Amino acid sequence: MKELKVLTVCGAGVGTSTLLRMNINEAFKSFELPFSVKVENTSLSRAKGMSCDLMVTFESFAADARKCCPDVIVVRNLMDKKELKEKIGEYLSAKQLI
Amino acid sequence: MKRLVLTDYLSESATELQQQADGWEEAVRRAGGLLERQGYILPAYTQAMVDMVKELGPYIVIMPGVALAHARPEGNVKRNSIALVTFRQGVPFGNESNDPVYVVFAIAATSDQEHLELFRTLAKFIAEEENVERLKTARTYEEIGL
Repeated sequence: MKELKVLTVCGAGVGTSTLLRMNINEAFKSFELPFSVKVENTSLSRAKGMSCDLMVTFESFAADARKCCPDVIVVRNLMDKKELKEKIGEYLSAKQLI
Repeated sequence: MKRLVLTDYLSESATELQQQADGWEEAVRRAGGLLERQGYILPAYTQAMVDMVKELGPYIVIMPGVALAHARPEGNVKRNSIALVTFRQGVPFGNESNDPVYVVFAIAATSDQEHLELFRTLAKFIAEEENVERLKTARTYEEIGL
């Protein structure tokens, strides 16, 4: 693994996904991974044409997100750093990246 | 670069506390209406914020009790601004994890880049649990402690 590509996805791709990107970036940093993690934010419609290893989004977009990316994290409380860290931890262990 | 704070965008004249609303749409329209009255946005932006929820669902309730209403900047915004309306009784938005909503922010930016700045500034504030608690309970603008 050289670089993990992560997309944070919301409806318009400007506000909420940006917040998500900032908080997800922070959560990834806390794991001190031996590879780089690139987090970008976008809208659901644009996400459909992009490739990534992991999508992070909200319940409203979960079903659509699963159609374009095999690994999807659904966030309930965007500001809850504990939730974000736990969910990323689960993903990383499932993928045997930690 | 100047460090931006929430009060650069949010003022007492765009704040209403301990209100009541019949449903999420009225709640979002109330917040948009405050910015309209200040001349910061056109009514079309309020409509766009409502349409976002209708089309894409209640994901704007980003954390328990707090909704960030917004739409894409499409020439309907005259000035970067944020309105705040809080509700005495929680308003259901249809978001299973984070309902009911006590705090609605309407966020209006003139461009995508500005949008990001506004969100960042607001996020810094609501990342602190005490700030969110004060938002929910404040009866006066001063009590919010901005």
